[in-house]
Amino acid sequence: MNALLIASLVLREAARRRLLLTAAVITLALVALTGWGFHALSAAHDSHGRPIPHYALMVASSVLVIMMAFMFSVILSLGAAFLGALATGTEIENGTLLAIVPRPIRRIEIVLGKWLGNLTLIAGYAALMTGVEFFVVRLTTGYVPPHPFVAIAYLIAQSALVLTLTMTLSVRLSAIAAGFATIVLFGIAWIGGIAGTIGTALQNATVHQAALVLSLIVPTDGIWRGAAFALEPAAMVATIGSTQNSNPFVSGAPPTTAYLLWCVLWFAAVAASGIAFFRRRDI
Amino acid sequence: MTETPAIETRELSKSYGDRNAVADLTMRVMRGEIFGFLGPNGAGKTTVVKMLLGLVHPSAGDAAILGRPLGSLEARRRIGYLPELFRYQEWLTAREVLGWHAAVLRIARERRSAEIGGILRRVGLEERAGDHVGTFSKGMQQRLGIGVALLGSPELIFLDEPTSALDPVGRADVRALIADLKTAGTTVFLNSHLLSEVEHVCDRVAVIDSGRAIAIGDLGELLGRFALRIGFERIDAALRAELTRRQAEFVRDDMVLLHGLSDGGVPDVVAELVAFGARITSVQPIRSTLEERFLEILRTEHERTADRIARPS
Repeated sequence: MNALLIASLVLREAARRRLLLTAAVITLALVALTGWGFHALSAAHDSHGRPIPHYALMVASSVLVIMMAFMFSVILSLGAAFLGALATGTEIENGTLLAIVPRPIRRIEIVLGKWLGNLTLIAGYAALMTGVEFFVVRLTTGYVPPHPFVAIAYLIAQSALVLTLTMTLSVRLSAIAAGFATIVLFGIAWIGGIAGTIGTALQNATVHQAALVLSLIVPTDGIWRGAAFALEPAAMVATIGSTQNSNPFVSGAPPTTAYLLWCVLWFAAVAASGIAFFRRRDI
Repeated sequence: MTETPAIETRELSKSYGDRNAVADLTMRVMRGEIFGFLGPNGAGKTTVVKMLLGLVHPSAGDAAILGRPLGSLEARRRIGYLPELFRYQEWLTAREVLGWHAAVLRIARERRSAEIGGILRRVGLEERAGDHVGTFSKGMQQRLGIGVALLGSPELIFLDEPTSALDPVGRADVRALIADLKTAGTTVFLNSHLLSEVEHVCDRVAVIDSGRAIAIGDLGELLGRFALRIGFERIDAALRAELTRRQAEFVRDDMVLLHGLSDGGVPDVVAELVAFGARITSVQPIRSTLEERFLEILRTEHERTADRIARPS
């Protein structure tokens, strides 16, 4: 109950500070722009002046959808890092929590409420942004990715990991340092993912192992690969499998159950650390 | 059965590395008291308040609030707090800030509106209730903070520098508010630099310096002895002998200071001297101000410390 009261404050703040309005306006502009682009693609002609074949339109659309999903993944992760740093770190620094913590409310409820509020914002935005984008692609080109809801779930999960990590770090570090550290870790994980595919392609065990370890330490890229796989048509998966494609936008296989279990454990450990840090923290 | 104190600390300590912010603080604040907590900047006053409220974890020692251990949710339900560095959600209105705190305190929905309205009137923000806190002056935000502290009719209120941003009218309002709280039986823990304010409203005070309590007691006791300055038309030999018998201190040919009296003893002394035949021109009670006593206590403590360092046992 108290956690929900805290979460309601987070949501009200987002509305009052025009975060929701700004996100809505920018997203609408983005959707309009990409909608125009996909429409232009569907109306494109080849060098002989003939409409491009349907299969070529589907292939191009599927690639573009994955690239757009990757852009959403970066936007959502940066947004999660930004919101996570503000959630507790800034409120500790500016003294707003001085009036809240002495109330009959457990510290775990404060952390949980902040997390829930921010995750609701991010998840809502992720679902709306990607859902509208997929709908616009379907309207303009007729293309529907194979598992759009699974992809959205992976994007939300990735943002949840970033949010949790930033909130945990912001209890120990300053808000700005926590946000910066998370973004750096996110970038390292991304590069690690690319290195892993290169290592696999070159059959270099050392690079492959290093990338694997990195994907266990910061599993954000591993989760992104799940989203990418959910958006790949079967033909593309087969091509990736045969060419050992090493780029950040595609995945030859979904994350294994063991890896997903590891991500759940990672999340639980980071969240528990954040709660423990916050309970011990002097304010 | 004796009533449990509102606040009881036992050797409460807080260290940051090698530095002791608070050291072995033992004190009691009884229910219904207006308790002043004094000390120079950096003495550890706010750290003590924060420990009592569960914001800062003690390094050693223990404390109980309203008979319950530190951090108890039940105790916190009956506590109000105005932080020294008050800051409320500037994107909420004053009414919404109070509404949110009322919800956390589980004040029944049907009572909430009336209680919030009453508090807004009491702190003089009724006309700005619908405005965002971000548009408030510092003083208005402090008034709102006092309102937040009053929500739910708490049994114990911590006011940390409650008038730091207020104008003279606001300060007078806070003094009146504290007097009302005392009448209602609410315990007030007042942390303030403004000694005249403390002197006006407090029953007992503690003086803290370098994290240690160096004086705790009744305000009257702490202020020390009372003296009476009496002016005469003339002091003749007989009167001089009488005044000497009363151990008067002769400050001028026609004026003395009488020590060791209480407030209530003044009319009797004057009557006795008039009966003796003295022609009195002026009577002026003299008491050291809290500020004078505060500085004296600090000076004495610093001399003792310097002495201990110079001559270790």
